[in-house]
Amino acid sequence: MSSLLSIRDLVVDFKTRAGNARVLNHISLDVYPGEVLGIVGESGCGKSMTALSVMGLVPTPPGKITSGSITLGDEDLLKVPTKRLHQIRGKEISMIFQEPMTSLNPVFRVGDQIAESILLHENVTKAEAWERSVKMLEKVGIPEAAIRARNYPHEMSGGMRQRVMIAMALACNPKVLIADEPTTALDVTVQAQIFDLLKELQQDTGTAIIMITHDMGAIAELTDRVAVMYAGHVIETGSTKDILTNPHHPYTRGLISCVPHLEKNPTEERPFLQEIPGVVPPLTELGKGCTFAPRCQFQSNTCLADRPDLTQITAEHSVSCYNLEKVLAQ
Amino acid sequence: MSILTVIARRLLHAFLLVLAVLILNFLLIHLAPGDPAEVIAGEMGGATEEMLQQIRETYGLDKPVITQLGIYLSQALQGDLGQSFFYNAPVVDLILGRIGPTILLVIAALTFAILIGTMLGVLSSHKPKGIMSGFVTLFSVVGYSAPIFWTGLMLVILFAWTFPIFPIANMYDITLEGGFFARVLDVLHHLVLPALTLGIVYIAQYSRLTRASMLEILGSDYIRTARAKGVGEVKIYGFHALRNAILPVVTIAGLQFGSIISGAVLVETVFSWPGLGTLAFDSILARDYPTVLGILFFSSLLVIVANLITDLVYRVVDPRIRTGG
Repeated sequence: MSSLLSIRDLVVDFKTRAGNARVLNHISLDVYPGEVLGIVGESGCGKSMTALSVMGLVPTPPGKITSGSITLGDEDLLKVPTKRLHQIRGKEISMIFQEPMTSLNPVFRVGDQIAESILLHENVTKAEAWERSVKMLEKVGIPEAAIRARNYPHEMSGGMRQRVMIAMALACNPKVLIADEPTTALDVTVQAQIFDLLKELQQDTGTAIIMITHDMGAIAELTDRVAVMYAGHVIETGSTKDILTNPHHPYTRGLISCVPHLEKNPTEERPFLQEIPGVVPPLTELGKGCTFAPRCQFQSNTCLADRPDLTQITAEHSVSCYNLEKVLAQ
Repeated sequence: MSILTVIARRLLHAFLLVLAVLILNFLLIHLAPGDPAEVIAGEMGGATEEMLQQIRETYGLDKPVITQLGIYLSQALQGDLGQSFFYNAPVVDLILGRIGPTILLVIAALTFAILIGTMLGVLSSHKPKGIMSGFVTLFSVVGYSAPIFWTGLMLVILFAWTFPIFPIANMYDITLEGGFFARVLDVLHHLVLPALTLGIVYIAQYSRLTRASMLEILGSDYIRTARAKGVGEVKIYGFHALRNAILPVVTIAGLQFGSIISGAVLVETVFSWPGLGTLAFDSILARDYPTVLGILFFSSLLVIVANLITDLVYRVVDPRIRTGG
């Protein structure tokens, strides 16, 4: 199957006072029609920056897309003229954000904000666009949608606002929806509702979703494939099942064992709450070697001297690590 | 809360406020040094002690201040602000004859300030370190720090003398013959320079204010959302961001209405604009208590009305206020 959206060798740099920070370092990812791709990693690993690059929303300056390509169909999004980019945003690719409380414009009615998206991309009258935005609100499970459409954002709860964001993002039936930690700011019961909603809409519309999260539970529940990122690199990709049951990279293993559990008698090997020792190194001070090496219990001289490439181990599963044998033996 | 309840409540507040203003003004002006009877007598070419006494009796100046206040208030509530010592005419008539031009001037200045100010602010927020932004910053520093009478004179020299585009002074051309429209145009033509002079400080302020709030809003999440759905830059700046950035300007403009009226005194003097300002200036010099009081009363009334309008406008532009009550 050919990919819908394909990111190749994407490099994004940020100029900071401490020097040049390479926030994305030769990232390659593919999104296939109708799938849910999860991108997982710690804060600052480049998950959101990948999403913003696809949307063409990297804040420039200080950021800059240095090289690479992002292809949607047969267009390179990094090369299309601005006007075309405006047509693509919201129509072909749309995005929902982490902060539903601040992501809607406070002075416009939510119905109008959804309708605006429809009016921008489709040849419809204002009345038709309004009608469709009410329908979208119904679709995302907002009761009394016709009345709620006339509400302002401050008259809604966080969960409701995120539903509005989803309605807005899906209003023009995009091919790809990027969800950047859509539930981080919401409480747990609402999180589950939003996940269910996304899953349901995804099955309904067949929109491919890029799900950015640091929540392994969300990964397990929603995604078909996963890319694990660390300090601007993709260090492991594979089907969700492979990654969760048979992780190869020491970092992926660490992430999975970090999920707290409720066993009555935590053992030494599986304590109640596990952590990965150390912190993500500053992006301005990445050495030549593997970015995870300083925190890795398997590190060897090779790891410190040279960065491992992403190597295919099965048709779907790739990982970048020199010491796979040692890791798997443990 | 319905809009009518809000208006009714504000009107009640306004009434109490006006009463307080009347009392305070009255007491203040009687605390000030100077005896109006002597000024009136001086106008008449000097007077004996007896005549002074007579003048005081005529105008009720011999009674205790509290009694005078009582008389003044009861008359004021019936719409009578007394008789001018100096012009020898009812104060209400004097003021009503002059208030129109002042309101016109103040509203024109405010319109200039809001339109030009926000426009400059939006332009300079586009590239905050660019040439346009630097120019706007320079303009607002000069506009804000230059005294109003100096700005007025400079504008007169530039646009009425060197390049005679606008008339130097007055509100209309008395020699003009023509219909209603010709006269309206003539007044507008005369209005440009004084309104610009009066407005320039506020243009400077609002451009800074708009620039700062635009810069903050342009970095906000909902602007990113708008970009993510494919809204073009012009609409982002001119609609999504500006609609939010205008809120502080509305607040400040409402609060500043009073100071614009006091600025009008100077501008009217420079441009011989036949408004309340020139009347105020003359009657203060003449110790014409009733007229000064009347003008203070009317200008506080204008400020109160302006604040009421601001509140209502704010409810329209910011939906969050509506539910807050």
